[in-house]
Amino acid sequence: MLKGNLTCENISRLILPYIDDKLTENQRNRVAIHLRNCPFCMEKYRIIKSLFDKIKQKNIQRAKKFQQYKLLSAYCDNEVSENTKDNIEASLALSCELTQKAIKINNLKKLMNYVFESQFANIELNMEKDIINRLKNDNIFKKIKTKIKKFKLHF
Amino acid sequence: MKYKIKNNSLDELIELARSGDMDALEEIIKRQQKNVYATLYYLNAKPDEIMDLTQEILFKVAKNIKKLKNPRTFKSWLNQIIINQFYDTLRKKQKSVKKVCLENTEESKTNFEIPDFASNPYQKAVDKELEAAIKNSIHKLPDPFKAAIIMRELQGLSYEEIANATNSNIGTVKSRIARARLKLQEYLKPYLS
Repeated sequence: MLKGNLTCENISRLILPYIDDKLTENQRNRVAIHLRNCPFCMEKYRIIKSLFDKIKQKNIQRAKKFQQYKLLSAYCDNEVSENTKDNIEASLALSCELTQKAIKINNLKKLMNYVFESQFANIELNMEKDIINRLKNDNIFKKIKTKIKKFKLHF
Repeated sequence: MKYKIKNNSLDELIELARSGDMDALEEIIKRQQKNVYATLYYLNAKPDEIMDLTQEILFKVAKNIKKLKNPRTFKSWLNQIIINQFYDTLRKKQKSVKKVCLENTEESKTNFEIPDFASNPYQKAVDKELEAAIKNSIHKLPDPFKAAIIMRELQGLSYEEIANATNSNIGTVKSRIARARLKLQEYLKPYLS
């Protein structure tokens, strides 16, 4: 616990949690009082706050962009509601950037599907008979086992 | 009762298999084996283990199909088995330390060649390069992204089916597929322009 008035050294430790709103009400008030009375710390606060805001803004923008990409990706898979589909199609008509992104997603899909289809087209595995036989043997083995168990219990 | 199993839909076959019809079960395995094999290949199973793993997974499907309540959930259920079996094997191997690394020789890699019957040699070479590029790119993805994009693009599962198979929700699946696509576009840039 910090007692009495805060020093400039205290402030440099508390400045980030203060900006990030991580302090208790009491701590927040004491930092605010110091800042009001100390031009040096106030300047420091302004610089850090503006950097912090820029980073925050960038993160918000990035998240928004990803949100839009996520919807577009789901749209290319035909996995959006009719309402969202209409909205996306309206946005696509207005934005070249978005259309480019949709084309890129579809190109990737086509490329992957082409490779997957051609790669495994000629493979013959023929495992079905072996598996069915194994299952039949397994069932016989189980029946024998339960019979032995019953037999043991009987005696 | 005589019927042509080959013409039945997957849902019908599952219903029949659940009531103990072995022919139907055989047809299901016949239809699904390539899917299982291909999925394991892209999940990065060891070449010399893919066949055994595919066998094990298909056997589990055959053994437990009667427990599947709704035929519509078959694809999710199958993929759940694939994922669980694959990561179980991986975990077991990690426990038995370096034994596996010694066995991973070049020889075992060359044994696993996918036959390619494309007639044009140039196309053949292009296809091979592309296959390798896609495989390497998928392997670089984090596990949850990898599984989601394989289920979507290789097997054509719906987002709901992927969510059920991976025990997650549709929002998460949407995110994972989108993130996988962003990464794949970056890795495969030379092939996409």
